[in-house]
Amino acid sequence: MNAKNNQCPMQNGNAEILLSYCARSLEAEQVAQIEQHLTACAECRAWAAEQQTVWAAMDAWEAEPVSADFDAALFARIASTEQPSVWQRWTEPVRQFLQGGLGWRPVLSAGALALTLVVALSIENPFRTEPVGQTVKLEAQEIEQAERALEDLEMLRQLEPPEEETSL
Amino acid sequence: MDMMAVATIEHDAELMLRVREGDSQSFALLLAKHRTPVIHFLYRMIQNQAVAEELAQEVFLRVYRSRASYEPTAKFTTWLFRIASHVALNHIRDGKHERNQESLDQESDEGMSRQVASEAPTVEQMMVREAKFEEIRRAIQLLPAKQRAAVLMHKYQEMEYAQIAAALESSESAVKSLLFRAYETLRAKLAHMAGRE
Amino acid sequence: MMIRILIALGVVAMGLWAQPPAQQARALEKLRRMAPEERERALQDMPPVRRRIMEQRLDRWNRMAPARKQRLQGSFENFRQMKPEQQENLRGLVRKFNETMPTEKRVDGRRALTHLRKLDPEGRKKFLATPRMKDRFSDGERELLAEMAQNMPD
Repeated sequence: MNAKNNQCPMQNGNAEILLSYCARSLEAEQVAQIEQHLTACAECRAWAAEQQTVWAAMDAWEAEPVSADFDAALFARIASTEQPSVWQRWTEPVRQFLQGGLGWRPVLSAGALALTLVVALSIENPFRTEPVGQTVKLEAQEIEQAERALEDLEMLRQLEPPEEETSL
Repeated sequence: MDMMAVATIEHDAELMLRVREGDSQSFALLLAKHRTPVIHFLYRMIQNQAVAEELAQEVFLRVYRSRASYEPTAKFTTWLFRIASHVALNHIRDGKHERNQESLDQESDEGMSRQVASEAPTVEQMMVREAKFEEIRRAIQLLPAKQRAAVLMHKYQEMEYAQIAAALESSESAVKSLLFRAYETLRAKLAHMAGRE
Repeated sequence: MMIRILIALGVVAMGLWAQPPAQQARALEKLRRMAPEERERALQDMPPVRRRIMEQRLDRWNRMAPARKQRLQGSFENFRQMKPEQQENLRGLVRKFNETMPTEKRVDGRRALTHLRKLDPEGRKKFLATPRMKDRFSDGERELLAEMAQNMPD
């Protein structure tokens, strides 16, 4: 292969073959061809050397380990999306009834329960002292508590001895 | 799909077809095999581990939700990384990425404690390694998002041009040019590292 | 009747026990167990920087080896038993350590702290006065280490 003839990847717009060579994704025959070309072409040689440096540098970038509970969290999400919503659960007997798949008795029971709930909710509960927004406020407090806990744990972690114990 | 057809398709696609039939065990196998590469890809795209894991949850959730309509028309990894690229590029486009990056920059103190906690043989070596890592991380972070995705799939996932093209919904020639430009930028920034450490 | 009284007493006792340390640990555990999208929702109103730091710390906590986690939980319990002003004092000392101790001395600083904590006040003085310590740390740095060792929880 002549360095400056039309087989030079840089000359004939086929630079990706050099990229593939540096990525070690070429067949043995192509590798031999490229290596033969590199011995004669300084331009390609310099290009490949730089590319290999970049490639090696990128090897140094290790990703972080994955959280141990990743799968558990995913399966929990799947389970929560697979489960019918509260609304669906409550309306399911009605839907079945309307489709003729359910007798009268469960629907009457459900209706009675719903009526009881409506009545109960409409009467003011004298023991209920917390405003409706309290839940949200409480969550905000909990977030702050968790944040403080994490901050202190981080501080205590920093105070721990280094992993390998050697004397000063 | 008949048994002969199943026998000729790749193993991952076969597992996915079983997921389609309701076999959750097969989904667990696919997750075990692809969880780490997907998270690592997203981590290098977003450069934030917690966000990468959240996005990876979204990716696998989408895989699971798409099971009913899944057809093994492409390699499973190509399909998977198309979803992962979508999720990452959308996240970056929505500007959530900048918010993460901005806060990362303010965490030099955290980075420092991580550095202190690492078990490098000497402080000097540790610092050289950290500096090198930081330089690579920044060079990749500064690539346009699509170039970054292409480089990461090419380098760390060892995907072929055609696969990357399918994942990014581009033509193969567009991906080659994308990669070429990305590596040009990286060479300009990182080639001086030759012979260091 | 007796059983009911005992249960009531138990509830009161649990309520007293559930002071800040337990609340904080519980809040942390609750947050840790949340599905990512729930957590995303819960944290969405936090300022981005604080949120990001919190997420990273939570992530680190999640990934910690069980033995180390247990050890830290023990230290956390002890830290929480300290008076609020003592806690704040220690936080300030650690901040000072992070801000003033040069990076290359921090690992040795932590080793020195581990050793100092095993010693009585007299032993600490002697250790800090050794040529090795004097050679490695400035007067101010050794003072800081001594103060930290004195104020750290068991």
